[in-house]
Amino acid sequence: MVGPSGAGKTTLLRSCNGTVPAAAGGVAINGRLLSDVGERELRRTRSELAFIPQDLALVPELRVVANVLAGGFGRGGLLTALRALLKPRRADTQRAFELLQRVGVGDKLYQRSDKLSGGEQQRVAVARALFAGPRLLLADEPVASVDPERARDTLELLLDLAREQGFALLVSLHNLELARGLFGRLLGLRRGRLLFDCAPAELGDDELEALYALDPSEDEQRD
Amino acid sequence: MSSATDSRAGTQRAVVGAGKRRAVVGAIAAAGLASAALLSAQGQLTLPGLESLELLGRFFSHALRPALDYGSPFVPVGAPPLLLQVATATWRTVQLAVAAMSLAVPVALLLGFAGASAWWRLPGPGGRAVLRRLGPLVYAPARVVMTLARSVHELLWALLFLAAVGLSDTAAVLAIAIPYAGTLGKVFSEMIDEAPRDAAVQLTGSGATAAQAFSLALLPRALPDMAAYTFYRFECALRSAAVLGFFGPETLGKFIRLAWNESLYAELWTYLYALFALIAVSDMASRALRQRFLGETPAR
Repeated sequence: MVGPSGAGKTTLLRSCNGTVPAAAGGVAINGRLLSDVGERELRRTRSELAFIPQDLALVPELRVVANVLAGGFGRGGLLTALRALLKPRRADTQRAFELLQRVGVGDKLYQRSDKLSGGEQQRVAVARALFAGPRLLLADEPVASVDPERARDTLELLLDLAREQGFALLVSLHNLELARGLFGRLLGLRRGRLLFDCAPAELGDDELEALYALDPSEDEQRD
Repeated sequence: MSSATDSRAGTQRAVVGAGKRRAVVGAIAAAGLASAALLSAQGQLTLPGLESLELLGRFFSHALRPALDYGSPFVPVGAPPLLLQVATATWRTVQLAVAAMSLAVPVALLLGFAGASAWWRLPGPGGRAVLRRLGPLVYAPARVVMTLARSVHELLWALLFLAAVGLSDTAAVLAIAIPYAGTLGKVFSEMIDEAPRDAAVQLTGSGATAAQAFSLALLPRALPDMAAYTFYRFECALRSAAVLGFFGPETLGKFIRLAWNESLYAELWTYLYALFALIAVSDMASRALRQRFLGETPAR
């Protein structure tokens, strides 16, 4: 999903798990509108979605393992949360370790999360998203704050994981080049509207120009 | 075009900001001058006379020579050596403060959780509707109780108890514990409510309940501040326990008052130094504990 700042990429991603209610239209998951389902079903639906926000939203004071286990809270109660905090189950710790190992930061399992570098924290956020075994992973600007070389690595990791574990991946990106090079389907968003939905090869220069063109009349309106 | 407008608006805002600042500083200065004028008109702001200056001089001249033994010939029979007396009074002060805090902190935790709005205003499924309805019914009484408890200062509580039952040690402990529970609870609730909610929102977005998000994403973020504030209040409790000695309990304050009444400035300083040492030691201990258990860096 590509588009200029303010196009509505984050809003669309957040409406996919219902944290932002849709102002118009609706989000249907498994054929059911999110706005129609009750709390219990909303919770079950959410537990099959994983979301990585742009700021990662880790709890910095907690150990990495607790942050990863937090990804699985959709399938447990308060006790599950307290256990994750105080004395995680061995099987859960093992799974958290394997996921962290897979994303390349297995040795950080028991570190405090705020002692990690930005790139390492991002990988912890990926492991947290994978912990519940999601069917859809939503990632908001996952490479906005990393250098270009790291950006490609991170996106390739997400794509590899999606293929390995069989989940759908919806990523918002600023960088059009990366999006065209790596993804099979591009959505162009501008000012809250879908401009195009096609494979990268089908994308013409006209559409790209329309996507990022500066429109003075729109700026006037904003003032 | 639009950026030019923006920068002009920015400059205007800065000018308005500076004007507002000047107005606020001016108002504070004017209020200070006005109250000084008012007080001196009523003859309450008199300069200290020669006599009181002399008293101050005598008091401070003993600062570098605190007493290590009784200087007065009128020592009661059977009185323990001065330093033992100081040590006992210091220990009593610590005991009183610890007792008061061990009552105040659990009550404050309960009141603080109940008086925070985070646990019933958090977004997310999981009994949310019930919490929303229940929230205000618990929240409002908790805030009222905290306000009532802390609006009366510990000295006033002490005077109340003194009038009613005499200031026993139990009464002194309660006199400190009641307002401290109110203050701690209020600050706890605000720390919980001010903790960043990004992680809590993120968790509820992936199916966590409000209770899970509260205990894992909000509490841990508020906890270091809550611990630091508790240690600070313990320090305040030490001072309060010392001061309540003026009304009876055998803490440092009692002996400070006795020494002052009999103009035994050297002994007075011994007790004051004990109080300084007590506060310093509690400060060092709290820093060491926080580093050990909350992983805080020594810089803080």
